[in-house]
Amino acid sequence: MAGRQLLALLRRDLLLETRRLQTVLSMVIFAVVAMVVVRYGWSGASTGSPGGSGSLGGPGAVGDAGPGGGTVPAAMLWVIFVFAAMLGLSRTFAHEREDECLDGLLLCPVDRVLVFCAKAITNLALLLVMQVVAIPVFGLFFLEGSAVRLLACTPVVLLADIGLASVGTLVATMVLHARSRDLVLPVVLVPLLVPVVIAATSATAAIVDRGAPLADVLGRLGFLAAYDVVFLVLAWGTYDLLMKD
Amino acid sequence: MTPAAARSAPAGRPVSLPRALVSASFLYVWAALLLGAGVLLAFLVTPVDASGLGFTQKIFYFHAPIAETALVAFAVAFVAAVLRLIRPAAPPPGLEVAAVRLGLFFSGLVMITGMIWGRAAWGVWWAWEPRLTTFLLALLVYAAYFVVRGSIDDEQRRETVGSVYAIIAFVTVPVTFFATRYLPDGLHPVVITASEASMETSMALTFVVCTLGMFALLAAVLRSEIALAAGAEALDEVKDLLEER
Repeated sequence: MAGRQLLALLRRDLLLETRRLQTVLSMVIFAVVAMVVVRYGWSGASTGSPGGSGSLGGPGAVGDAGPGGGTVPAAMLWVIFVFAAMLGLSRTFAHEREDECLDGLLLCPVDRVLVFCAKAITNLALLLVMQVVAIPVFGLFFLEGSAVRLLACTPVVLLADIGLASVGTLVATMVLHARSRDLVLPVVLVPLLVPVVIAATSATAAIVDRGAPLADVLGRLGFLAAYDVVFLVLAWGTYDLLMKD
Repeated sequence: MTPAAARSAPAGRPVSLPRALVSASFLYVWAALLLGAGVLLAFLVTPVDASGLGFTQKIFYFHAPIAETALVAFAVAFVAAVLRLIRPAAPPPGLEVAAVRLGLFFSGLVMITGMIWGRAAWGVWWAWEPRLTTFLLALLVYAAYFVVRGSIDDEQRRETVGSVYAIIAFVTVPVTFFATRYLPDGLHPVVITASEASMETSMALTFVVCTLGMFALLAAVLRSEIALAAGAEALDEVKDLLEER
């Protein structure tokens, strides 16, 4: 029964997102544009200034040390993912607000936790679609010869995305009735996501920059998994209270 | 004391000695005596540290108790939040907000005293090591508590969302406390463990006295804040009664 209810809610949310593709397109475009900006900014910091009069100049060689050393690409990747995620998370209840059907959702005879699950899975799907495009672009812009190492980051990306989606959905629900929610959401969400970003960045840098096997980053993967479990349990315990009329 | 209870309580009823000893006034006296004794012990009794930090080590007798008091304040906020969600009438009004506010105040003091000590001990004002990073993270997460509360107009929803956020934010507290124990690659020393305290008797005594003094100060200010919140609530009730007339 709960499974069918969840599937119905999930189908509704995914159908709304796929009809206009507004959210996922915005996330993808933002991620790619941000990578372009970072790549040019990084090369400008490491090589001095773009060369050539009257031209944009090209990015520096991939082997150039960035301002932050070897972990700069990994950190930039996850910062871009967090900000792209916020674009999507700010739209979590957009359909309910704009079409004035939040009351209809609250009147549905379903456990409120299933609403959280459907929203979180939808946000997770949007993140994954964005990353399917953004990660190869990242490999092309920043890694060239070692881009294939990104495949080994799949567990890191999946665990971090579950954390981003679950915490993001929870916080998006908390600010649902807030004034200036587009301002409040990032201020509240980003500090809570810092542990995820630190662990994901550290693991990604180890795999991509140093070619470390997954066994070397098991501690960080364990931390990400524990973080996901803690916040999923917190969401399960408190979502009923947040979705009260 | 609720406004209703205040109106019905007989005036001039004598207060028992145990209750008097933990009243706000006496707690301030306790705090002053203990902290005064701590200052005297720190500067007149305890030896100068022989490990190389010298006289600057004495800031430990204030820095560590302030840090512990901040974490205790956040724990009080967590308990008050849980009680408020389970039994709304149970916690004194204003306890959760006051505890978070005081936790932020003490966290700010920790940052300042820590930077002073770090400059003397490590030669830098700031280092990205586990204990400092996790404490900064806790400070940012709890600072966002007031952003969340300030953005919601409906009082009932504000209290509920604030309590849920205080529970979520508490996840950062054990991470901060155990950072130096499970992430050993840091500059921050671990002085006290479950099995021993790496300091001589006079140092341990001074540390305990300062810690109790800080706890007494926290308790005193919390008592004052609760009384203020109760007074504000009673004033609002009187205003509502006057408006009805």
